[in-house]
Amino acid sequence: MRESLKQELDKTVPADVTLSEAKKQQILRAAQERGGGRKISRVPKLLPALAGVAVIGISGVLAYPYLMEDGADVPGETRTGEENELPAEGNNEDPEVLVPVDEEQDIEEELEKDTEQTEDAADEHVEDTEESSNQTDESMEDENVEVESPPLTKQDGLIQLFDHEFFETGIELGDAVAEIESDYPNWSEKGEVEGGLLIDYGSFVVIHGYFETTINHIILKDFNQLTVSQIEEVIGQEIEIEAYFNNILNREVISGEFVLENIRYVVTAGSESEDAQVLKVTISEYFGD
Amino acid sequence: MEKREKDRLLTEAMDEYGHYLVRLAYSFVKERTKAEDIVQDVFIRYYINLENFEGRSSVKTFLYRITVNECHNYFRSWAYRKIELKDKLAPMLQTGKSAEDLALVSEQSSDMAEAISKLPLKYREVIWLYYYAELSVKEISEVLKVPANTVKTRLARARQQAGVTFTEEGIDHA
Repeated sequence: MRESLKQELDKTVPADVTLSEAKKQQILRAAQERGGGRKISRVPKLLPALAGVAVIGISGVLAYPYLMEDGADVPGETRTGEENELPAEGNNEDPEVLVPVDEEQDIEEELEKDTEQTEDAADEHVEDTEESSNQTDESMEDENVEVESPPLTKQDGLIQLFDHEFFETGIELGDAVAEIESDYPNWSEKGEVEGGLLIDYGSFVVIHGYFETTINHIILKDFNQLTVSQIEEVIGQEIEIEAYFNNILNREVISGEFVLENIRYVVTAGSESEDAQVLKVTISEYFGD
Repeated sequence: MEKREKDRLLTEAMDEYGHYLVRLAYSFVKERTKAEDIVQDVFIRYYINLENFEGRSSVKTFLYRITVNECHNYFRSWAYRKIELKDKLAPMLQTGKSAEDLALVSEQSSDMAEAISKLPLKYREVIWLYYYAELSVKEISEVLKVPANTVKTRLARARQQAGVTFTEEGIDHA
């Protein structure tokens, strides 16, 4: 029977899908070229350095007009090249000085737009990483910049309902692990769970895959008297809470789930009743059933 | 390890597992070029890590593990989501296939294979690894990095959902 099922499965793949001799030779050549002691990494080790160079380069391009004008001793100019210094009043009347200032303002305005972000604007946004991480409200509005990081939710009611410190961190699904570890270093424990590795921050846990560097699950814990029916009221959906035996935990788990804005929320409750206390909520991206 | 020896081991691995890995990857991603790219990356990683392998078993599980993980990564990628969206929209748009073509395609795959293809990924992958790649439960648990009991549970549920009913040694059946 096992053999016949193997044949059935084999039939579902076109017969000519195979590793041809030509492809083998191509792989061998590629392996020889890339195998000279250098390991393939999903995130190149040079990436941070390249990002730094890119930021410095962009800064250089933006600062170039100021530096050039400083060197030329244009009358009426008082700028010293410092990025944060406001231009002298007289400069506002000088069209040559206004150009770069406008450029900076345009970029800032562009970053503030919620739904009209372009990839170019996203590149510029790299410069403001530190600033945006401190301004959590703004970063929540800027979610659409990260095309691969879906917003956790845009329902303010849900965020208020959860009333959870996690939402103040600005961490999103799809964020780089290295980045959040540097921004939020106070994790208490690292460990392993089914399907990935976890970092425990106390009131919430983030999980990433074995071979991945981005967050794929977030678990919120330590709710203050939150019930399943309260969540149902906010989302306008019924959450079917069921008990089942979890083989990994080796105990019964009571949970239900709902999908909202392409995010799957798994609610673990203390009992199967409507007014059951919520123990934790696991958030992940919804790929469909 | 000498280059010639590494070349020989890579060629052997490609001869032994290449065909199965490409077909396994295709069964997940449903795209020939992507499946070949995934397997190419898998073998290059193998070549680079050749000196770390101690036995055939670890080579086999390594190759399958990286293949499965690459497929998972592909499903999470933006490129795949675009394709998925297009597929969802496809029925609303005019397709190039005639009714006869669609009927022929559906006849070619059996009911059981059809049912398996509709399973969620976590169930589909254990079925493919167990029945097609002929990995043991222990090997699958190493490939997927989940406990053996989880593999057994998934196999049982996959069989139940796909309507596969038969008995075999060592597996709890649904």
